[in-house]
Amino acid sequence: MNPALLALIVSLIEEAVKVAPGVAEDLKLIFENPSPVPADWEALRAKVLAKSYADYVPASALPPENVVKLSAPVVTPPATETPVVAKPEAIQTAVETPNPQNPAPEPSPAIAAAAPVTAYLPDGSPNPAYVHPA
Amino acid sequence: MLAFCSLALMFASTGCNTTPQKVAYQSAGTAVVSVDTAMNLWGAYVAANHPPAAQEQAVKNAYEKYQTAMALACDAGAVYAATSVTNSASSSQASLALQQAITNANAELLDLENLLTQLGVKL
Repeated sequence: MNPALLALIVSLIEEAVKVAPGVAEDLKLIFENPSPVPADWEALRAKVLAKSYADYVPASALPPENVVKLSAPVVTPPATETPVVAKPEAIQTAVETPNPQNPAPEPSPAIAAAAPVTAYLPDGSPNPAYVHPA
Repeated sequence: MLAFCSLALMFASTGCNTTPQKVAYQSAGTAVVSVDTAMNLWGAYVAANHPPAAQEQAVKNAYEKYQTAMALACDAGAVYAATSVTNSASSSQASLALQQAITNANAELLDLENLLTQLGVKL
């Protein structure tokens, strides 16, 4: 062991025994243990972790760490990806607005002949070309 | 006088009938007691002098590093205590691990106590 550390430890032990006489008993138990078993090491570990900084320094200016949160945690739903869809208005506009530079073609005579003949004309008069189905 | 007795006790414990594990256990136990004392002195110093929060944070960090290192040393000690009865290769590995862990914990202890001394605590 480092001699400086050893000297420091000895001075601290001396101080500890002055302040808390129980320390001498603790040390006696440690030094009289003939052969430490795992439980002895576990007890020592529990002693190491027993005291937090705040336990030693009650006048600390540091904020406390173990604050109980009284409010429920805010649960945010997982972000979902919105599929990118073309605006329907844009599609509709492209279909409905005629382009004067490129007018829609007239239907061919064959297509016009294949068009269904209605019973009435658009002005409401009977269509003479219409034949009632049998 | 007490310092002399403590030293005598520590050196006496390293005699021929003392196992490395026992020495490690005594070293760790002594360190735990001395850190307890040092931190109590720091608590009294803070109450009396109200040092800046940065200084307190530095001590808190050093103390928590020591705690972690010493807890690891105790874990290594428990492993060694469990394997030492077998006197196998795993036992010698556990012994090396324990010695290393004790060295690390002592280094953290020295850092903490040096810091406290620098900040004006009379150890």
